[in-house]
Amino acid sequence: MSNIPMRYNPAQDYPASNFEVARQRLSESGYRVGATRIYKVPGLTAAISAGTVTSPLPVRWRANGICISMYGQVASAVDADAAQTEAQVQISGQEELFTDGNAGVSVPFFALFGPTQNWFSLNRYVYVGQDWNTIFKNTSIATNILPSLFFAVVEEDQTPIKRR
Amino acid sequence: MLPARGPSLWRITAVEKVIAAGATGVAVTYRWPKPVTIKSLFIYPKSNVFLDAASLSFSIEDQNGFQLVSNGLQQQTCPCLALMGKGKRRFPTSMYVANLDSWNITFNNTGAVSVTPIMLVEFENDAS
Repeated sequence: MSNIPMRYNPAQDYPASNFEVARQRLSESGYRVGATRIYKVPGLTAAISAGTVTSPLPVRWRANGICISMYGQVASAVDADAAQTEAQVQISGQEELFTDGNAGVSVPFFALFGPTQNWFSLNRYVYVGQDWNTIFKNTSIATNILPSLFFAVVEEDQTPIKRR
Repeated sequence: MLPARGPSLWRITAVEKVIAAGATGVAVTYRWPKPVTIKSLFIYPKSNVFLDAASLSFSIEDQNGFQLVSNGLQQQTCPCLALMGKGKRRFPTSMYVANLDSWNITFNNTGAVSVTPIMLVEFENDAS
Protein backbone atom coordinates (compact mmCIF):
# COMPACT_ATOMS: atom_id res chain seq x y z
CA MET A 1 0.00 0.00 0.00
CA SER A 2 1.28 3.42 -0.87
CA ASN A 3 2.27 5.84 1.86
CA ILE A 4 1.05 8.72 -0.18
CA PRO A 5 -2.11 10.03 1.47
CA MET A 6 -5.19 10.13 -0.66
CA ARG A 7 -5.93 13.70 -1.58
CA TYR A 8 -8.99 15.41 -2.81
CA ASN A 9 -8.39 16.58 -6.34
CA PRO A 10 -11.16 18.94 -7.43
CA ALA A 11 -10.03 19.04 -11.04
CA GLN A 12 -10.06 15.27 -11.27
CA ASP A 13 -12.99 14.42 -9.06
CA TYR A 14 -15.20 17.24 -10.23
CA PRO A 15 -14.11 18.49 -13.66
CA ALA A 16 -14.81 22.17 -14.10
CA SER A 17 -17.95 22.98 -15.99
CA ASN A 18 -18.12 25.81 -18.48
CA PHE A 19 -19.97 27.75 -15.82
CA GLU A 20 -17.23 27.21 -13.29
CA VAL A 21 -14.61 28.35 -15.79
CA ALA A 22 -16.65 31.47 -16.47
CA ARG A 23 -17.02 32.13 -12.76
CA GLN A 24 -13.28 31.68 -12.25
CA ARG A 25 -12.44 34.07 -15.06
CA LEU A 26 -14.85 36.65 -13.73
CA SER A 27 -13.27 36.31 -10.34
CA GLU A 28 -9.72 36.62 -11.68
CA SER A 29 -10.57 39.73 -13.65
CA GLY A 30 -11.83 41.40 -10.51
CA TYR A 31 -15.43 41.18 -11.63
CA ARG A 32 -17.65 40.62 -8.65
CA VAL A 33 -20.10 37.83 -9.26
CA GLY A 34 -23.43 38.50 -7.61
CA ALA A 35 -26.72 36.67 -7.63
CA THR A 36 -28.78 36.39 -10.77
CA ARG A 37 -31.92 35.14 -9.10
CA ILE A 38 -33.57 35.29 -5.69
CA TYR A 39 -35.56 32.26 -4.59
CA LYS A 40 -38.22 32.71 -1.95
CA VAL A 41 -39.23 29.84 0.31
CA PRO A 42 -42.91 29.53 -0.55
CA GLY A 43 -45.91 28.47 1.40
CA LEU A 44 -46.34 30.93 4.23
CA THR A 45 -49.40 33.09 3.80
CA ALA A 46 -49.94 33.89 7.47
CA ALA A 47 -47.90 34.14 10.64
CA ILE A 48 -46.73 30.96 12.36
CA SER A 49 -48.51 30.50 15.65
CA ALA A 50 -46.45 30.62 18.81
CA GLY A 51 -44.77 27.33 19.63
CA THR A 52 -45.48 25.65 16.29
CA VAL A 53 -43.44 24.17 13.45
CA THR A 54 -44.29 24.27 9.74
CA SER A 55 -44.22 21.34 7.38
CA PRO A 56 -41.25 21.28 4.95
CA LEU A 57 -41.62 24.04 2.37
CA PRO A 58 -39.79 23.26 -0.88
CA VAL A 59 -37.83 25.54 -3.16
CA ARG A 60 -37.30 23.88 -6.53
CA TRP A 61 -34.34 25.23 -8.50
CA ARG A 62 -35.13 26.31 -12.03
CA ALA A 63 -31.56 26.04 -13.28
CA ASN A 64 -28.16 24.76 -12.31
CA GLY A 65 -26.09 27.23 -10.37
CA ILE A 66 -24.44 28.09 -7.11
CA CYS A 67 -26.35 29.27 -4.07
CA ILE A 68 -24.15 32.01 -2.64
CA SER A 69 -26.17 33.36 0.26
CA MET A 70 -29.29 33.20 2.37
CA TYR A 71 -31.39 36.16 3.47
CA GLY A 72 -34.24 36.36 5.93
CA GLN A 73 -36.50 38.62 7.89
CA VAL A 74 -39.49 38.63 10.21
CA ALA A 75 -42.41 40.82 9.21
CA SER A 76 -42.40 42.68 12.52
CA ALA A 77 -38.74 43.71 12.01
CA VAL A 78 -38.27 43.11 15.75
CA ASP A 79 -34.99 41.51 16.86
CA ALA A 80 -36.67 39.50 19.61
CA ASP A 81 -38.96 37.87 17.04
CA ALA A 82 -35.95 37.05 14.85
CA ALA A 83 -34.33 35.41 17.86
CA GLN A 84 -37.43 33.24 18.39
CA THR A 85 -37.74 32.23 14.73
CA GLU A 86 -35.70 29.27 13.58
CA ALA A 87 -35.13 27.60 10.21
CA GLN A 88 -33.98 24.13 9.26
CA VAL A 89 -32.91 23.51 5.65
CA GLN A 90 -32.84 20.05 4.10
CA ILE A 91 -31.01 19.58 0.81
CA SER A 92 -32.68 17.13 -1.57
CA GLY A 93 -33.80 14.98 1.34
CA GLN A 94 -30.21 13.76 1.65
CA GLU A 95 -28.34 16.38 3.61
CA GLU A 96 -28.99 18.94 6.29
CA LEU A 97 -27.57 22.44 5.90
CA PHE A 98 -27.46 22.88 9.68
CA THR A 99 -26.51 19.93 11.83
CA ASP A 100 -25.39 19.02 15.34
CA GLY A 101 -23.19 16.32 13.85
CA ASN A 102 -25.85 13.66 13.95
CA ALA A 103 -29.07 15.17 12.76
CA GLY A 104 -30.49 18.29 11.22
CA VAL A 105 -31.15 21.19 13.53
CA SER A 106 -32.84 24.54 13.23
CA VAL A 107 -30.97 27.80 13.75
CA PRO A 108 -32.44 31.12 14.92
CA PHE A 109 -32.71 33.91 12.36
CA PHE A 110 -30.95 36.22 14.78
CA ALA A 111 -27.96 33.86 14.91
CA LEU A 112 -27.87 33.56 11.12
CA PHE A 113 -28.41 37.17 10.17
CA GLY A 114 -27.54 39.16 13.29
CA PRO A 115 -28.91 42.48 14.45
CA THR A 116 -28.29 44.20 11.12
CA GLN A 117 -29.89 41.34 9.19
CA ASN A 118 -26.77 40.56 7.28
CA TRP A 119 -26.81 37.68 4.84
CA PHE A 120 -25.53 34.20 5.60
CA SER A 121 -22.93 33.17 3.03
CA LEU A 122 -23.21 29.84 1.24
CA ASN A 123 -21.32 28.13 -1.55
CA ARG A 124 -23.47 25.24 -2.65
CA TYR A 125 -24.16 23.85 -6.07
CA VAL A 126 -27.85 23.63 -6.89
CA TYR A 127 -29.30 21.56 -9.69
CA VAL A 128 -32.39 22.06 -11.79
CA GLY A 129 -35.37 20.19 -10.35
CA GLN A 130 -33.67 19.68 -6.99
CA ASP A 131 -35.64 20.67 -3.87
CA TRP A 132 -34.35 22.42 -0.78
CA ASN A 133 -36.90 22.10 2.00
CA THR A 134 -37.20 24.65 4.77
CA ILE A 135 -38.93 24.05 8.08
CA PHE A 136 -39.74 27.13 10.14
CA LYS A 137 -40.08 26.93 13.90
CA ASN A 138 -41.61 29.63 16.08
CA THR A 139 -40.17 29.08 19.55
CA SER A 140 -42.01 32.01 21.09
CA ILE A 141 -44.60 31.10 23.69
CA ALA A 142 -46.80 34.10 22.98
CA THR A 143 -46.05 35.82 19.68
CA ASN A 144 -47.16 34.77 16.23
CA ILE A 145 -44.37 35.47 13.75
CA LEU A 146 -44.27 35.71 9.94
CA PRO A 147 -40.77 34.92 8.68
CA SER A 148 -39.53 34.89 5.12
CA LEU A 149 -36.39 33.30 3.78
CA PHE A 150 -34.56 33.75 0.48
CA PHE A 151 -31.69 32.11 -1.33
CA ALA A 152 -29.48 34.11 -3.71
CA VAL A 153 -28.25 32.04 -6.64
CA VAL A 154 -25.85 32.55 -9.52
CA GLU A 155 -27.53 30.59 -12.26
CA GLU A 156 -25.45 29.29 -15.11
CA ASP A 157 -27.74 30.56 -17.86
CA GLN A 158 -27.94 34.08 -16.46
CA THR A 159 -24.33 35.17 -16.07
CA PRO A 160 -23.47 38.37 -17.94
CA ILE A 161 -21.10 36.37 -20.15
CA LYS A 162 -23.89 34.05 -21.22
CA ARG A 163 -26.39 36.80 -21.90
CA ARG A 164 -24.00 38.66 -24.16
CA MET B 1 -4.06 47.04 -10.45
CA LEU B 2 -6.85 49.44 -9.67
CA PRO B 3 -9.63 49.64 -12.22
CA ALA B 4 -9.67 52.82 -14.23
CA ARG B 5 -13.19 53.54 -13.10
CA GLY B 6 -15.46 51.91 -10.59
CA PRO B 7 -19.18 51.38 -10.82
CA SER B 8 -21.60 54.30 -10.81
CA LEU B 9 -25.02 54.64 -9.23
CA TRP B 10 -28.22 54.93 -11.21
CA ARG B 11 -31.25 56.29 -9.38
CA ILE B 12 -34.46 55.00 -10.88
CA THR B 13 -36.76 57.82 -9.96
CA ALA B 14 -39.70 56.28 -11.82
CA VAL B 15 -40.39 54.04 -8.81
CA GLU B 16 -40.57 56.91 -6.36
CA LYS B 17 -44.31 57.03 -6.01
CA VAL B 18 -46.41 56.63 -2.90
CA ILE B 19 -47.43 53.00 -2.32
CA ALA B 20 -50.57 53.05 -0.20
CA ALA B 21 -50.95 50.85 2.88
CA GLY B 22 -52.15 47.41 1.82
CA ALA B 23 -51.58 48.05 -1.87
CA THR B 24 -50.45 45.11 -4.00
CA GLY B 25 -49.26 44.84 -7.56
CA VAL B 26 -48.26 48.48 -7.97
CA ALA B 27 -46.32 48.22 -11.23
CA VAL B 28 -43.74 50.54 -12.75
CA THR B 29 -42.28 49.93 -16.18
CA TYR B 30 -38.73 51.10 -16.67
CA ARG B 31 -36.96 51.06 -20.02
CA TRP B 32 -33.18 51.09 -19.89
CA PRO B 33 -31.84 53.81 -22.19
CA LYS B 34 -28.47 52.14 -22.64
CA PRO B 35 -26.83 48.78 -22.01
CA VAL B 36 -25.23 48.36 -18.62
CA THR B 37 -23.94 45.64 -16.37
CA ILE B 38 -25.67 45.79 -13.02
CA LYS B 39 -23.51 45.08 -10.01
CA SER B 40 -25.93 45.67 -7.18
CA LEU B 41 -29.47 46.67 -6.31
CA PHE B 42 -30.79 48.81 -3.50
CA ILE B 43 -34.51 49.26 -2.87
CA TYR B 44 -35.65 50.74 0.43
CA PRO B 45 -38.45 52.93 1.75
CA LYS B 46 -37.52 56.59 1.92
CA SER B 47 -38.75 56.66 5.51
CA ASN B 48 -35.82 54.44 6.58
CA VAL B 49 -38.16 52.77 9.07
CA PHE B 50 -37.36 49.07 9.45
CA LEU B 51 -41.00 48.04 9.75
CA ASP B 52 -41.72 49.87 6.49
CA ALA B 53 -38.81 48.01 4.88
CA ALA B 54 -40.20 44.70 6.11
CA SER B 55 -43.61 45.59 4.69
CA LEU B 56 -42.46 46.89 1.31
CA SER B 57 -41.68 44.06 -1.07
CA PHE B 58 -40.77 44.10 -4.75
CA SER B 59 -40.35 41.90 -7.79
CA ILE B 60 -38.66 42.53 -11.11
CA GLU B 61 -39.49 40.91 -14.44
CA ASP B 62 -37.89 41.79 -17.75
CA GLN B 63 -39.51 41.82 -21.18
CA ASN B 64 -38.26 38.28 -21.83
CA GLY B 65 -40.08 36.89 -18.82
CA PHE B 66 -36.99 36.63 -16.64
CA GLN B 67 -38.11 36.93 -13.02
CA LEU B 68 -35.57 38.04 -10.47
CA VAL B 69 -37.58 36.80 -7.49
CA SER B 70 -39.17 33.38 -7.74
CA ASN B 71 -40.08 30.35 -5.69
CA GLY B 72 -38.98 28.09 -8.52
CA LEU B 73 -42.42 28.04 -10.10
CA GLN B 74 -43.92 31.51 -9.93
CA GLN B 75 -42.85 35.08 -9.49
CA GLN B 76 -42.64 36.21 -5.87
CA THR B 77 -41.95 39.45 -4.08
CA CYS B 78 -39.06 40.03 -1.72
CA PRO B 79 -39.23 42.40 1.26
CA CYS B 80 -36.65 45.18 1.20
CA LEU B 81 -35.60 44.44 4.77
CA ALA B 82 -34.67 40.85 3.93
CA LEU B 83 -32.32 41.82 1.12
CA MET B 84 -30.98 45.18 2.22
CA GLY B 85 -31.08 44.50 5.97
CA LYS B 86 -31.08 47.00 8.76
CA GLY B 87 -27.62 48.06 7.62
CA LYS B 88 -29.10 49.14 4.28
CA ARG B 89 -26.50 47.33 2.24
CA ARG B 90 -26.65 46.91 -1.52
CA PHE B 91 -27.67 43.49 -2.82
CA PRO B 92 -24.83 42.14 -5.01
CA THR B 93 -26.06 40.90 -8.34
CA SER B 94 -24.78 40.29 -11.86
CA MET B 95 -27.26 41.26 -14.49
CA TYR B 96 -26.83 42.63 -17.93
CA VAL B 97 -29.43 44.86 -19.56
CA ALA B 98 -29.39 45.67 -23.23
CA ASN B 99 -30.40 48.95 -24.80
CA LEU B 100 -34.16 49.50 -24.38
CA ASP B 101 -34.59 46.42 -22.21
CA SER B 102 -37.75 46.85 -20.22
CA TRP B 103 -38.20 46.02 -16.54
CA ASN B 104 -41.54 45.61 -14.87
CA ILE B 105 -40.98 46.50 -11.21
CA THR B 106 -43.87 45.59 -8.93
CA PHE B 107 -44.40 46.62 -5.32
CA ASN B 108 -46.55 45.33 -2.49
CA ASN B 109 -47.02 47.17 0.78
CA THR B 110 -48.41 44.97 3.54
CA GLY B 111 -47.90 47.63 6.18
CA ALA B 112 -50.32 50.02 7.83
CA VAL B 113 -48.74 53.19 6.47
CA SER B 114 -47.96 54.33 2.95
CA VAL B 115 -44.35 54.17 1.80
CA THR B 116 -42.31 55.60 -1.04
CA PRO B 117 -39.52 53.41 -2.39
CA ILE B 118 -36.14 54.59 -3.53
CA MET B 119 -34.21 52.44 -6.01
CA LEU B 120 -30.51 52.65 -6.72
CA VAL B 121 -28.62 50.47 -9.17
CA GLU B 122 -24.84 50.18 -9.09
CA PHE B 123 -23.72 49.68 -12.68
CA GLU B 124 -20.87 49.73 -15.12
CA ASN B 125 -21.23 50.77 -18.71
CA ASP B 126 -21.23 47.95 -21.17
CA ALA B 127 -17.92 47.96 -23.00
CA SER B 128 -18.87 45.47 -25.69
